[in-house]
Amino acid sequence: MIWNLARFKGLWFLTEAASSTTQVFYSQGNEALVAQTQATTNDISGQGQFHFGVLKKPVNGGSDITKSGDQESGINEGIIFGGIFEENSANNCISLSPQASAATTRSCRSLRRRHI
Amino acid sequence: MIAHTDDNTSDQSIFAPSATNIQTGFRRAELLISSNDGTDASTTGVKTLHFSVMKDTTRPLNLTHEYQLVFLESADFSTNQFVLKTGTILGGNTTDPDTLQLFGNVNANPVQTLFKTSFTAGVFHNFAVALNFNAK
Repeated sequence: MIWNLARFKGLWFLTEAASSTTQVFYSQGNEALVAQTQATTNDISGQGQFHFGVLKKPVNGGSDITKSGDQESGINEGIIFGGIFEENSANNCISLSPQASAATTRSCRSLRRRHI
Repeated sequence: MIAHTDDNTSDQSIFAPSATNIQTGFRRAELLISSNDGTDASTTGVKTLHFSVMKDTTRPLNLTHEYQLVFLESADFSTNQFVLKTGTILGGNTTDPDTLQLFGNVNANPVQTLFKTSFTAGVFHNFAVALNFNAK
């Protein structure tokens, strides 16, 4: 919890500062993305690495599920991924659709990205 | 791009961070971006991560297990700041395992469910996760 001192009409106030937030957008197929949440407080500090793929956890595991539990043999499972990229949203720009649209005020007109 | 786990009889999808640390409990195959070394700019400022997932009906999952499909793992490996899961969530009370569930930081108490949707086959499920890493 981080607090700021703010001054208003000659009085000092403590205000809670915005901590790290996460906002989720979603769509199916070729539909434009739609916000599903507000920018929600969620501790995303600690930097790190993004993972894309399939991590299958065991069943009947013990205290350390990385090294215990059951996995069947002959696994042949998969997920199809597409459209993985990251964009800079520092200017409040979030791409919602491949087509730039004036109607979506937060859409990015010029997209600079690398995607797979 | 297709990601899949492959484990016939030779347990090919077992990750060993070191020769003495072999993750025999997991089966996993993941893509990481080579420039994303854990302390790079992709986890600073305000960034939006985009990704889409679709079921591979030729390689169905076993939904009695928990699966993590997309996640951010912190540089010290102590947490996942967000994670997209499907299947039967360990320690949870999953009413329908055929659901995509996006959670916030897994060390929070309680863990936030940010969004969930039925994992309908035959369509891409598109996500954008806007991440404000600035802590004021």
